[in-house]
Amino acid sequence: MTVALGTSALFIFNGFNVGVMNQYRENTIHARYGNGQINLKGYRDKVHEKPWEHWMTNYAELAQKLKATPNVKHVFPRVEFFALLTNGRVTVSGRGQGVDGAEESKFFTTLNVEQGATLAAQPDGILLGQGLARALDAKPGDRITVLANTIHGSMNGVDLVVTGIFHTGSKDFDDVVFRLPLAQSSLLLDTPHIESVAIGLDRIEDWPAIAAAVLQSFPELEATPFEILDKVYYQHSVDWLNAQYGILQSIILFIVILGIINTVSIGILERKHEIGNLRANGESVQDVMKLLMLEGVVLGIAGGLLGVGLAWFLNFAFMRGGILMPPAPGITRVFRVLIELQPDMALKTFLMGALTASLGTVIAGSKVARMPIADALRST
Amino acid sequence: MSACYKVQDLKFRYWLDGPPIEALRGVSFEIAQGAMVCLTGPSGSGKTTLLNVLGLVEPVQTGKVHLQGHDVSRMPEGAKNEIRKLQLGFIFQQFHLFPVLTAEENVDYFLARGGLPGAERKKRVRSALEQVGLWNHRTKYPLSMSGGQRQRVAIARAIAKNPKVLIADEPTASLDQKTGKDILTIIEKLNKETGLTVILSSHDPMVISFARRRIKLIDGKLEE
Repeated sequence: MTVALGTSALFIFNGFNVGVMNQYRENTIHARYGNGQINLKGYRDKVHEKPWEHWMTNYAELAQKLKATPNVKHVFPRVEFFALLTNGRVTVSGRGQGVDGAEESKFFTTLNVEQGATLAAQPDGILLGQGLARALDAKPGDRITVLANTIHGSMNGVDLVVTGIFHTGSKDFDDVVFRLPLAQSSLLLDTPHIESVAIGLDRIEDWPAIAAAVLQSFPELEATPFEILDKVYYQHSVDWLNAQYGILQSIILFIVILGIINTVSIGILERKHEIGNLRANGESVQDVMKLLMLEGVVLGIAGGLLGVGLAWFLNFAFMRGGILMPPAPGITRVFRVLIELQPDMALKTFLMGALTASLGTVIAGSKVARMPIADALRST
Repeated sequence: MSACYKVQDLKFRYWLDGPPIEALRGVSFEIAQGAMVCLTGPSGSGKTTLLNVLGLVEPVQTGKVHLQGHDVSRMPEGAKNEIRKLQLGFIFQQFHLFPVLTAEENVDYFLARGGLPGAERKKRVRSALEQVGLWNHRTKYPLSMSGGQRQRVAIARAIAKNPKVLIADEPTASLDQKTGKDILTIIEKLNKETGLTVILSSHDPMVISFARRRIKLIDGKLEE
């Protein structure tokens, strides 16, 4: 039972870690960045005085190529720019994203529109971040004017209707970002060029192949995966969490191993009489050790299998809906973590249980098997 | 009658905290084949130590011990294992049955470990359990048996090996008088009918009364 419970605990803990990481990753991908983004080579390396001079002029050709690439599910052209937003009473600054609303609504599902609707096919819609909406005291249906400089330097403006208010859970993002249709941003900035293209995939494992294909066809471009795009929050958070989980897992592993060895050892030490009886009736030390080892291995295997099964059962029966977690640092939204049990971890925890039980058997068994027979028979 | 055991100037010491304890101080005697002997004496007299040496579960520290004509004093452990496996049967005060095995399986266990063929094992198990009157209880587990029944299973297990010597350390100490007497009657019958050499250890007068010879120990020395 000890082996089973220890194996199960480690397995579930790992599943929890994986669930948190995956949730975090999916949130990052499906809220903001997609699986990765394409832009002109070197564009992200520095701040440009005139960024539009480094935007892509051949988007149509690129889009056609990308859509024909296997495993690419979505292609999202985008521009970003700074602007002022006003409702006639209040003017605030923001960072606008010109997007294909209809396409993006199919993939960016963790944007979490809390009021109204996401930007879809509305020609004059605007989607406000939660903090921005609060600053403007805006609600769905309100009219907002967006003012920005065109690429030629002149001031331009568009009147838009608030379709919805979103929050991603990142306050820094929600306080400044707004989204409007790409056509409106092109009009506003007076340029048809595209700053970046976000890619949506079914599987994150497909990104390297797709990035390589893009670079081969368009050597002037570069493809950046989401974990680099969001290095500060996502990658650093993941690295930090992984380190933390690693330490916790090591502590749990140590406690589980100690517990298993202790329980197995006690079980054997309590059987001194039995082992003394075996020795008295002609079993050699080696014979006794073989018996104990066989027992230890069988118990370890049985316990390991039971533990893995128990973890799966507990997850299915009680944790299928996930565990509700409070907001993470920098995030304003609670999220639900699914316990994602990994087959390779099933093998590892099973082996841990089996090997630890065997080790405990060897440690205690060799002590008892080598005891003088009379002492073993005599012990209480 | 030839000697089953020949013990010459046997000494034994225990090292615990402090100075060593002399459990046996130069004991010499012989036990004939087919004898039923009881080692007696007060607590601490050395009778259990002597029994353990005769049962080869304690080493011969000083002196000589011959069993069936073979000097076991300096015998390697492997050879002693074989003797214990084939020639000696043990009965303990606490029975020491395997709780997860039935009576039949308990009796069969050491025969199986010894590599005896199945048919022969079945024959011996049945014979042993019948001799102790427990064949009809062969599927019971020790926990569902009385103390007397458990000790009878222990006897059956010991004799199933067809040993030359039966060694019994306080075999009735955990039993009531009547049950103890029944057990000793079975042992006595085995001794008389099969010529099995029996060595008991006890300070119980009832047990001592069954032995045809008593070897009395006082402070590690013999007093016959």
